[in-house]
Amino acid sequence: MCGVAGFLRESVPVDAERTLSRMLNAIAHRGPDGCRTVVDRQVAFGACRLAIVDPAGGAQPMRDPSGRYLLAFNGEAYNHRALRSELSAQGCTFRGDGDTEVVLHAWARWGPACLPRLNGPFALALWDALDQRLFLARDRFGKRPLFWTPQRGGLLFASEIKGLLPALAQRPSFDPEALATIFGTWTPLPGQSCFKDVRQVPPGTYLEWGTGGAELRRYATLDLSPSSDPSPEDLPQRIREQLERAVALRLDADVEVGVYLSGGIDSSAIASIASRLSPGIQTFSVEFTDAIYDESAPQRAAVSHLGTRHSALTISDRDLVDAFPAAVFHAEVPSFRTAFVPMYLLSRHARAHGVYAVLTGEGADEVFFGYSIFRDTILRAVWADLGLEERRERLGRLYPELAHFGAAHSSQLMGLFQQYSVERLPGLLSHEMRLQNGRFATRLLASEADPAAGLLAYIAERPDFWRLDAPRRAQWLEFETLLAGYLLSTQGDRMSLAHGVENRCPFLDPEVVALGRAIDLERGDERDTEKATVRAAFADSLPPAILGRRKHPYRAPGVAAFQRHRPEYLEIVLSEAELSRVDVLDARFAGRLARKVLSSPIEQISTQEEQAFCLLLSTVLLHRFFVRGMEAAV
Amino acid sequence: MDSADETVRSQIQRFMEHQFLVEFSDVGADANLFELGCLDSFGYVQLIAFLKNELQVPIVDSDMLDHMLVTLNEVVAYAQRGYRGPG
Repeated sequence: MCGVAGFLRESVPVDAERTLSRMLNAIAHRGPDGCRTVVDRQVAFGACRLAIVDPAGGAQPMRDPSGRYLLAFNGEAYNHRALRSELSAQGCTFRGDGDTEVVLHAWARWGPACLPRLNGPFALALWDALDQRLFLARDRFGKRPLFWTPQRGGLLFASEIKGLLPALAQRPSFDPEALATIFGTWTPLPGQSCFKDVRQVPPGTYLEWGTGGAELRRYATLDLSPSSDPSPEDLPQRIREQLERAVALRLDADVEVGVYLSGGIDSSAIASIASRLSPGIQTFSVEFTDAIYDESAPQRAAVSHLGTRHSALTISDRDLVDAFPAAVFHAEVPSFRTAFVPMYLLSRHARAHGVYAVLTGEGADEVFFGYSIFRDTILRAVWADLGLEERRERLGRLYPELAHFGAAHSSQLMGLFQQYSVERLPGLLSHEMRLQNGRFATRLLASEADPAAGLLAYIAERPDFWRLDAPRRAQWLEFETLLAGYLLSTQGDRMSLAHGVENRCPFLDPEVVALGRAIDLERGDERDTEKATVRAAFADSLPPAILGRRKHPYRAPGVAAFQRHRPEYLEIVLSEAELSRVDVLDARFAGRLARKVLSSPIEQISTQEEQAFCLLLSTVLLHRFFVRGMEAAV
Repeated sequence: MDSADETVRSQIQRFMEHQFLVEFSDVGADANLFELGCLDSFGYVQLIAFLKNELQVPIVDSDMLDHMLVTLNEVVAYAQRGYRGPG
């Protein structure tokens, strides 16, 4: 794991080395084991490294023996041993044992066609000195970040936006259209950042820069179409087998690997395999002093059953509000919730326990339909065919965690679902309610950009999306938006790498993801989305406290924590003068929202208000750190 | 419009403006508050509870099942049909 940064120009300036060092310093937290730079006539490449595989021999940027290719690689190719064997059989010789050298040879042999063959999270920059072409590429799910911006007839790139800043002629400014998308859909679209002219290489895509400028080419698409292989009877066993293989691949490291344990079925399943393959493995979890959010009981049940060396980090409201600005600085994007902040603190905790990489359950809810949005979509898709009583009964069990979805309000909510059982935004039946709620947050913005416009344009160009039924479109959207744009990034890579810890996600192994296609949703019953097959796969390995537990969304204290502790920095959203500095905001509405949210009884604050408040606070903090250039206390 | 009707309208308007951070002088009394992003499921449940508990408007289940009150004028009209006066 590491961070990469660099630039391409017609000719690199005399101070290239110095500029590149400053870019790497800005992302040095990603690779605390040292930085290295290579400056050529046209390109400057740098990498700061967290040495996990082949610590002694994997120094980079790395050149191939011919001198034609130069590679800076951030991530892991878990299948590097298999690829090495294949390349060796074709005559390649290797100097070390690491995966970076394998990727370099794979590129020299197969060019960009090597990308779909890599199993693992990565972002890479490759310079082909012979053809004078630069390639930037990211893994298919967007586990590792890679930002770029055009500059002086070339481009800059870095693993994080803060790595670009030392080489920018001026400080970045917010992009109002991107903010509308982020506020409306909770995440940037693949390829977007919240800043003007700062872009991401989209997941599953590579950018090729030649004489004609930049061209983006997709090398992997999500295949989520239904499949009858394996059969429903064989599916649990196949899930078990493929996860065992995926966990084993991700335990292969020269440093200590741990597991994050949430108390749900997914991370417990990962921990059960990991603890068998690696006895005595360390597990980590977050406990909250606020009992509403605390999941320590099932976490402890899992630990007791599996016998791992466990360490829980207890997080108070004060811990959360104190760490919020630093976590936002690392996230580099406005966030609609606070749940990423505990992950920032947990990675520091894991690193202090000597762990450099952690396995997590991320991806399971997307692959095996674990989220409530899938249940919700199935119900609304069949709504017109149901009688009144069946509607009432099925609606009643949809959101047990939400009090206002209780029986007392069922008639009103049936009226609501009636409205949303008809698709109004083409293709977006599943996400229309979320987008509608997101419109509340977009009222914070001075511009009137349509928050749905970006997403509608994005799906319009994706034939793979339109071939799917409603619940699988919801699945596709979750992969493309919330997973890549928040869970793997804001809550994942950024919080872990802030403290030099790498996340590894066995459920996002391509062979595991492919098994999600065999989940049978044909009968239109939302209960088919509750991961019964995953539970069945681990029925003999996990305790009843985990197997019988209904999905519990991971959440962290939000507005209540800010109300109780009132950190000094809240002044930035309460003062109209401060808010007026952020020209993309409607300062008057923003002030009204902040005052209402911070002064109302917590039970009277809606989810959309809470989300809008988090988006507002994180936006104003990002403005201070990135637009105004004020130092973040990290 | 008699004074009772006016009282109902102003009470509902005040509640909605405070609760949903909307100003009807800006958006108008026929603006669809769901489409504007002012109302969500939680807010809608709050609104119906306000009509029922604060204004003693009888909420008829069958009225709610297949349509929603999404504008100030619709809410006021519904309340005025069943308004029983302050409790």
